[in-house]
Amino acid sequence: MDDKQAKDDERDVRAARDGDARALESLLDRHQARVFRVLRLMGILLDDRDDVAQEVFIRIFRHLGSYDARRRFDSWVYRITVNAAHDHRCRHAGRVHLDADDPGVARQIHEEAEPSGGPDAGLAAAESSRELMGLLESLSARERAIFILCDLEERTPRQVARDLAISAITVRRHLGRARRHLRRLVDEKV
Amino acid sequence: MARNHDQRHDRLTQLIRDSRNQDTGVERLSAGGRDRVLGAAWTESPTSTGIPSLFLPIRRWTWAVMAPTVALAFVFGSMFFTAEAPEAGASLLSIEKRGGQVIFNIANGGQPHRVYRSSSPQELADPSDLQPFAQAQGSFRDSVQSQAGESNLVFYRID
Repeated sequence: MDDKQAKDDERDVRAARDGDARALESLLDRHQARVFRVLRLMGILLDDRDDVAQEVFIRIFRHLGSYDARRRFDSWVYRITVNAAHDHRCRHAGRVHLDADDPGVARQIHEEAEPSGGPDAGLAAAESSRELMGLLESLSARERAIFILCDLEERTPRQVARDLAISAITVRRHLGRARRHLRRLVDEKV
Repeated sequence: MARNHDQRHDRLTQLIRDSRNQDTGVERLSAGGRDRVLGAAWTESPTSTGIPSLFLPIRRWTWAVMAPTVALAFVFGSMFFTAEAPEAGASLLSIEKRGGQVIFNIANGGQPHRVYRSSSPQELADPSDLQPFAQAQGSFRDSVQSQAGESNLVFYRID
């Protein structure tokens, strides 16, 4: 996220606190793609994602009054999104399980992954997405969140530490463990 | 061997790269979902000014109180990891037990507070699906005796 967006966030949060409804919409529009992306990577299935995303934004807006404006807004969005995904998975522990061999799940991944490049590109993207999601399922909740934020969302360990309210050392330790674990799984597959 | 090693690690790198490049920009809140989110932000307002409570100049405060059957204990502050709980002074809430009842006195009780009650702190983290236990102004009370089948550890959230 660049500085301009951070400044836009700052301005919109201030305006929203003053009662500007359009500022809320701007915040929602600016961050919803990020929220959906993280929810998907956290294993929230397509059918549930809209509900969980709503929950995320309701939490964000409901607690906007207590948001510390000295912190970056995107960091707060990441934290609430990861927590909401975690809560959802805990509530639906038996249901939200991404089994790459499940035909329904495979079809859903394919449908989601098919980009404008057509069916072939869609198949390749679906295969790649399915493989990655299968790998992510093998991580613990914390390792998964840290790996997603660092390696897939391209945030630094220091930023992720702020996102998740943990130390940067803990982030690096879990990230290292997650990467080693994933490499081991990839090694076993080859 | 070295080639195999490169292939494996290239595969993981490739998966990461594919994920970063995947076009997920199309995924957006449904129209109904968007309305619900924006509506929830605005219907929070307890006043008629149109300013939702979350935007009030006074920071919202949240307490969670545990009331077991025999002993009474309470904790202030951050019960919920989903949102930052503002600091709360110990003088804001006092609790006393009288007979079979526990009475909560809220120091700034001039304004109405919604009280939620549950045996699950997770439920209280986001009480949007819960019916408020009470609409308190100044104080509220609850029975200390646990009922049959009910958890003897009860959590309260005061917004």
